[in-house]
Amino acid sequence: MKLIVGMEVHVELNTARKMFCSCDARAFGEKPNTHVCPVCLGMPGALPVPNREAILWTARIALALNCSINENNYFERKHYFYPDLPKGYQISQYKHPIGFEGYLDVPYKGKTERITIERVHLEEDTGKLSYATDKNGARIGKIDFNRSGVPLVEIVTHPVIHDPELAAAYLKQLRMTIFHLGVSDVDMEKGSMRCEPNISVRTSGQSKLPAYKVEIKNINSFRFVKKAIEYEYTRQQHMLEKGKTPTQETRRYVESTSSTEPMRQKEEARDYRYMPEPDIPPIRLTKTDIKQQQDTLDNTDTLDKKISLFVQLGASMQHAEFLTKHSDKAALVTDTIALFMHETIDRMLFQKQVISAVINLASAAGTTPQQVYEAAIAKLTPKQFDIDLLHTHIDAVLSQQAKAVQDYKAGNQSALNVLMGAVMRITKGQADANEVRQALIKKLSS
Amino acid sequence: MKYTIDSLHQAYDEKQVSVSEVVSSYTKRIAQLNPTLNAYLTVDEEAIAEQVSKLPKYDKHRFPLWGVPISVKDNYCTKGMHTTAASNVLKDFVPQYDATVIRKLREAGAIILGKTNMDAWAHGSSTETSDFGPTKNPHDITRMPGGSSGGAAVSVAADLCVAAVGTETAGSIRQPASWCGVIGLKPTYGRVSRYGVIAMASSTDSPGPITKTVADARSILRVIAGHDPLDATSLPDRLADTSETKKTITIGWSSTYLDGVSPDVKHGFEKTLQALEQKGHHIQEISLMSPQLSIAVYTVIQRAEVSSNLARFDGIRYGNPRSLFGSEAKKRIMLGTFVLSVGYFDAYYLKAQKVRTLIINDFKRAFKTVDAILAPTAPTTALKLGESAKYPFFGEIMDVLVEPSSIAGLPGISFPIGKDDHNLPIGMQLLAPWKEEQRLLRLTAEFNPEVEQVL
Repeated sequence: MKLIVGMEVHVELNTARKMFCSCDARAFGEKPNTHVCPVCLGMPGALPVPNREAILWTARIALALNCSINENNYFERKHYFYPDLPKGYQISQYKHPIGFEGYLDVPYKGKTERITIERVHLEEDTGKLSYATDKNGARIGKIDFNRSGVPLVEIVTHPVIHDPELAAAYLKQLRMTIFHLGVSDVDMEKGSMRCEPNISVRTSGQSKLPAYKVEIKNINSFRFVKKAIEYEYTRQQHMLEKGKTPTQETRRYVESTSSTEPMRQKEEARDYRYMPEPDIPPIRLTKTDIKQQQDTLDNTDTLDKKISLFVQLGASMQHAEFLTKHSDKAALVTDTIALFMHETIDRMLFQKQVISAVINLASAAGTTPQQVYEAAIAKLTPKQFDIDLLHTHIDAVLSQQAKAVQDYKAGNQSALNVLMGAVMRITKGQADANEVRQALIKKLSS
Repeated sequence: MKYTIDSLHQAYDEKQVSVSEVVSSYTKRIAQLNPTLNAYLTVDEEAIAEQVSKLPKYDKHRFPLWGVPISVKDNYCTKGMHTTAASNVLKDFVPQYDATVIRKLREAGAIILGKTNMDAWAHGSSTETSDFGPTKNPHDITRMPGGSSGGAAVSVAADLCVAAVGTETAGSIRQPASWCGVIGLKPTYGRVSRYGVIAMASSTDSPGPITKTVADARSILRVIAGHDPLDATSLPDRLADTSETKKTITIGWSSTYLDGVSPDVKHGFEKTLQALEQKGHHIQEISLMSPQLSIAVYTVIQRAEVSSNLARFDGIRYGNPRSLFGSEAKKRIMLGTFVLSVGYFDAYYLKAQKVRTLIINDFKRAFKTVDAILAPTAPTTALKLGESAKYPFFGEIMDVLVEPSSIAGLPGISFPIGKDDHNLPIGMQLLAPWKEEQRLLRLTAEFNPEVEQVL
């Protein structure tokens, strides 16, 4: 039985303005419903005016994925009811995506796998729905429209992936490719990159695609993509072995159990009643427009671009310049950042640590992104310090620093910092600072 | 009273009246007549007083509508003032923003008196589908005013304002103007911004003026026309200052526009044609596609767009459930949903768009030989109240003569040319090529059409 996976990826563009209005699109983490206007709230009478920059950037992504570009583009309305969709339809593209029939070459197990791309199209993001409980214990839904109308690019592969690990490798390569274009943060934690694998299993002897597919949502790391596909592969195989056909449906990935559960059933394809968006005239991408995007793509390696890329990642100007002159180290930095992220550590802190770890290497030769990642994480995660040893060190410091102890007991709070500094020096910074502080206070007050 | 923009400005020039006096005489007249006519849904005295107090110093050149009391159809969003589209679904809706037309009117010094009645969501040609009761025709209050801008046309005919702004998707300015004996200009699609107008059929919606004189229609058009960065479909061109200088032009007419037209209206048409000839214009018979054909095209496209545009009223926002949609809106949503469904889209919507192109080409061909086209605005004069419920496609039947030009996005103007045996106004329309509103205004001005003040 053969696994068949097609990948749908959504990427939020980081244009200054939203897709169809002039609201500030960079609203992640801002107070809910502060980046909104009649247009992105879908108020009666409001009209969309397309953001040309987003259209050109979509073409740039499509070109980077070796797609053909449609010169005549128009938007369509995709109708469905959902609380986070204020107009009752999403402005999207259906019949004629901006980019079509491309590919991405993915380095995989020492070889290159070519993943063919079906389409790259542009649409608007929806609002964000969350649930809470009010003071009477009733469940309430909350909608934040800051994200509503942010330009969103959808990249769809053909169903050509047959291996869960290759699916993850494709996503990593795609993330790296888009990241280098400077058009998106492609950050899975922030939701500016979202991956939805469509999975089915073909029984041996079958030559056509299976009559069903299962879409998985709610996956926020590459590792989980791989796990979700593995789980689905097993689940669907078991069903097929018993002679049953899996239901066409959307399922949700559950991290705690590494499994999937039904989200909503799709008995038949949903009828979105696509129609050309009458509020937006057709948009022409001229040969000159396309060439400009191609040129931008070809020049992504220019010095200025490179420097600003590293500065954006958190490098000092000095380090950024250093990296532009040391391409092997630069590649190690970008590869590590593109390939890895850590669920619990601030992205910027992590990036800074990666940069400093790579710069401090004698040579990039022989070091893998995995090693850099581990080194960076090690620096950022407090070590478990042997508790008995810590207390021994604290006792030693307290007996050596009699004056500081006296000062602290007399009410001088800053004396505590002197004592803490001494303990941290002895432990070479590997003890948890908070733990040290608590232990010191306890000992000093006894 | 019966002010026009020009006569009112003259009165201001000569300090005969103050703006407060003018405004209060209008609000008094509204208080007196609106209970009978139901032309206005909202008259906000507080908002009127605030507008008057905020008027800049009188300067009719800088502010071409300074101190001019204007009525606004209730599908224009007005900041802080109820905007219902005459539907219970929006009965509690107070917009946070002004439509571009409203902003321009305010900036030109106009005083917005209130919001006028209409067919709910602009679905109809009678103003009988309003959830807040029908508007009555002031020429005979047992008759309907036409629609959907029925309240707007009545507010002008009964002198409950100096001028009005309405909207037309296919006939909603011209047809009620015709039935109420006033002047209604439907500009070229895209000439006036749709931003802030509650959408009916996005690809044909055209805001425009309803007035007592041709000069007033021109004054208002000058204020509200122009490219709007908030409406991607608005025309980039500026409105020409005046029409071309050619004194006499060729006017075409097509017998296909006289099929099913009542004898009175037909007679009025012939008289108008003669009058044009006497003024030295060249008259030429042309052959236009039967307007009957455009009913199907218009119905399919409009219902599709309606079903989509009304999707945002999902019962989550605006405080009222979808069950408050009236039966006309429900019928349109269902038909529109059907024609957009998978498997039917190509057969209906796509085909309708193809025929639309044929209609556009038919006009393009005609305008190679003629400069303007004359036709009756509506097949009959105003019908009795209650008639609209008898016909499932009442609007389409009454709008048959304006639908082809609406579908093609052409400008058109309706003006009164006399009365029928029941003493009801008869309206004629002139059509021109895209962007030639000035030609229509100049030609209509030659008739110096008289708007009779009634009541």
